Amino acid sequence: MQDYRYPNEEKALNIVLKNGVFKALLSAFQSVSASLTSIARVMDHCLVVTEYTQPRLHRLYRKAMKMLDIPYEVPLYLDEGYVLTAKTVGTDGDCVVVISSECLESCTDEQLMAVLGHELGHIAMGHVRNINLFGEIDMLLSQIPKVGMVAAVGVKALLLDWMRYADFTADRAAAIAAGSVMPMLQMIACSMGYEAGKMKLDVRGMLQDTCMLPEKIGLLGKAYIQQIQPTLEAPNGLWRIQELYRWSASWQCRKEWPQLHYSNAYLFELEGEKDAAAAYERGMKTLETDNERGLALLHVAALGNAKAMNELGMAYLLGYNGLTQSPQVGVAYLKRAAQLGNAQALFHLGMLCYTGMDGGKGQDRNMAMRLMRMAAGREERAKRFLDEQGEDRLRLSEGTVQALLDAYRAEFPHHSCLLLDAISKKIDNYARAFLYIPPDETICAAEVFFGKMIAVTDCAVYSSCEGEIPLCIPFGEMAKEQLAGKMFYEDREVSIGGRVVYRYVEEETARSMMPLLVLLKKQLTA
Amino acid sequence: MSDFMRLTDYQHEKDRGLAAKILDNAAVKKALEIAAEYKLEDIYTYVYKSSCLRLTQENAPGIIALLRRAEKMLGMTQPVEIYMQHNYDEDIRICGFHSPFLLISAHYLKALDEKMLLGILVSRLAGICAGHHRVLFLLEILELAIGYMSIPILADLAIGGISNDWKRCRYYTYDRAFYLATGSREMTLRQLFVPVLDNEQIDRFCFECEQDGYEEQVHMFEKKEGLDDALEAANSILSNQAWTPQRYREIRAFAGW
Repeated sequence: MQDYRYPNEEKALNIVLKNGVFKALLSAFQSVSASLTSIARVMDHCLVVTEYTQPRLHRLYRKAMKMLDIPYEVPLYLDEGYVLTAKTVGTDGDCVVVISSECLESCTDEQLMAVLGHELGHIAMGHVRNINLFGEIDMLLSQIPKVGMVAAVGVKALLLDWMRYADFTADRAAAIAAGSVMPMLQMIACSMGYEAGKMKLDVRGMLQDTCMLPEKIGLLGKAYIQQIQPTLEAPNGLWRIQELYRWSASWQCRKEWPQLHYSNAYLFELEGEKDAAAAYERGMKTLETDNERGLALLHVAALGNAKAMNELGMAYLLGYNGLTQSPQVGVAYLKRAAQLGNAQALFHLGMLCYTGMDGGKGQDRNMAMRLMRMAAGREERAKRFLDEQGEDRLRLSEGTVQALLDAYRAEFPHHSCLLLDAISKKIDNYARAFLYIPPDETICAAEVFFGKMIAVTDCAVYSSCEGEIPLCIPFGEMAKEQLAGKMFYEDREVSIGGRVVYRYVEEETARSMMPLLVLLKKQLTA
Repeated sequence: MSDFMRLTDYQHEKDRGLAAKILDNAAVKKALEIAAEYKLEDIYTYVYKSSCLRLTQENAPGIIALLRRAEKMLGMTQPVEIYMQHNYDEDIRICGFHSPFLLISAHYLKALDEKMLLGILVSRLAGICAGHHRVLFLLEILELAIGYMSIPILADLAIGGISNDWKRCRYYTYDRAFYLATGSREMTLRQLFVPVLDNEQIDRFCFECEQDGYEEQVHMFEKKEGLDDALEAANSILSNQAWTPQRYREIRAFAGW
C-alpha cells in the first residue's frame, strides 16, 4: 500500500486512543451512531452515483480509487449543497462518500478527483470513525455519566489536533488521486474563499504567511477553538496548503511520486501549457546532462505537455536521459501522449502493438494499423508503414452507404442519431478528435449515449472507451464477429465480438442506432 | 473642514451610548481580563487567519485599492487587512480586537459592484473607527466565559438586552457612513437588501423614486411597533438581527429624504 501518511498523525492518534473519555465515547459511538442510521439518512435524501446517473462523476471516482489502490467498493452519493467539499458518513469498514452538487458544478475533473481522493484517503487510513465521532461528540457526551466539562474539552482538543494531521494525510491522497498537487491546492484555496477566474491564486504569498497559535493555551482557549473552528469551511486551510506544498517539494515525494513532485508549478515557477511547451524546448536545447534532461521531461510531462510525454515514454522504454528502463511506465506515458493526439506517440504505440511489445495480449495488427492511420497525416513514418503493409480495410462505397442510410431513415424516421447530411463540420471535428477517427474516413452516423459517443464511418464502428484509446471495429472484423444485444438493468447493451459499443433504453429501440448496426451487419455479411 | 469623514459625522447616538454602557459593564470588564489572561485574541486571530483567504495586492488588487480608498476617506492611518471566506450565510464582518480586520464572504462579494463595495467597505471601516470590533469581541468572550468561568449568570442577563439592542443599532452607523461615502440614496437603500434579495427583486422596490416600494412595509411595521413596552423588551432580548424597517427609517431621517 502507498505510504503517504503524515508523520505526526499516528503519534497524535495514539495520544487520543489512550484517553479514557475517548474510549467511552468510542463505545457510545459504535452502539448509537456508527453506520446504520447515518447511512440510512444519506440514502434518504441523496442521489446514488452510478455509471448511469452521473457518468462523469462515476468515472472519476473509479479512477481515484484506482490511483489510491483501494480494492473495495465504497458507494458515492450526491447531495444538494453549497460547500466545496465531500464527506464520509459511517464508520471504518462501513461508510459512504457524499459529495456536494456545488463541487460537481464548479470543479474540473482533476479537482473532483482531488476532492474524492481526499475522502478516499481518510477511508484508506482508517480515519472515518474518529472524524465522525467528533461531529457527534456533544450528543455522545450527554450519554456518558460523570464526564465533566474539563474532560470533554480536553478530549475534543486532542481530536482536533489529530484531525488536522489526518487532513494533511488526506490532502496527500488527494494529490495522488488527481495526479498533481495543483487541484488540491486550488480546492483548499476555494474553500477558503478563492474564486477561480476572478482572482490570481497567490500561493507564494500564502506560503509566506505565518500565524502562530500561543504555545500554551488553557482550557478556555481550547474551548474557544472548538467553538469557532467548526463554523469555518476550511479550518487550518493555510497550514494544509503549506504542508502539501512542503511534501510535494520533498525528497520522498520526488522519489516515490515524481509526477506529483514535478506537477508543482510553484516549485518550478511555471504555470500553464504555454510555459510547459516553452520549457520543454528550452530544456532539450540547453540542458547538458542526461539526468537534467530526464528531470525536465518529468516536470514538463506533469504539466500536461504531450511532446514531453512521448519523449519520456521512449526514455523509459529504452532507459536513457538518466531514467531506469521501465517498459510499463514507458507505454503508459506513450498512451497518455497518444490520447492527447501526439502523432509521434501514436506511431510509437502502433509499432509496439504491431510487435506485441505494448504489454497487451501480444501482436495486435488491427490496433497497430489504426494507430498508424491516426498518425499518418502528421507522421511520415506512419504513412510509410501503412504503404508497406498495404491497405486492407473493407470500405463501403458511397452508394452503399447512401442506400443503407436511406433504408434506415425509411424504416425508422424518428431516429435520434445524426446521419451524414446532418453532421455539421463542428460535430465532425469533435467526433474525430473524441474518437480518433482518421481524416480519410467519412463519418456516416454519430450519437452521444450516456456521456459516451458512437460513430459509424465508411470503414469502421468507433466507440468511446473509459480511460483508454477509443474502440475501433473495422468492417472486416465486424463481418466475422457477432452483433449481440443483452439487457443491462433497464437498458440494452450492444456488443460486437464481445466488446460493448453502445447502450440504449429498451423502450427507445426505434429511435436508437441499433437498427442501423443491424442493417450494417446484414450488408457486410451479404 | 476636514478631508475625511469624522466619527461624529456618522456614528449613531444610540450606538455610541449603548457601546459605552456595554464597555462599562462589570461582566464585560471581566471578559476583557479573561481574554488577556488566556490570550484569546491570539487564538481568535489564528483560527480565522489560518482558515480564510487573505486578500492582497497580488490576488485581489481591485479590492485592495478600494479598501485603501475607503481608509483614506475615513482618515485611517493604519491599513486594515481583509480576508475572504466561502460561506453563503455570511456577508461582511468586523473581526479582531487590538488588530481589527474585515472578513467578507465570496458569495456576498459577487453581489456587489465597485461603488457598492466601496460604500460597504467604508461603512465597516467606520465601524472599526467607532470601536465596534472591541465590543463584538468582548461580547463573544463573555458568551464563551459564561459556560466555563464563574461569572454570575445575572450579569449576562443584564447585558443581554443591551447587547442585542446595540448589535442591531450599530447598523445605523454603517448605513450613515455608507450614505456619506456614496452620496447615493438609491445605493444606500439597496445595500439594506443585498444580503437577502437578488438584484432583480431589489430593482422592483424602485429606490431611485421619491416614493419607493418598501415604504408600505415600513408603515405596517410602525403600526405594530411600540404597542407594548414589555413586548418590545422581550423582542429586544431575543433578537440581535438588525431590523430592516428600522434601518430604513433611521437612514431616511438622517439623510432628510
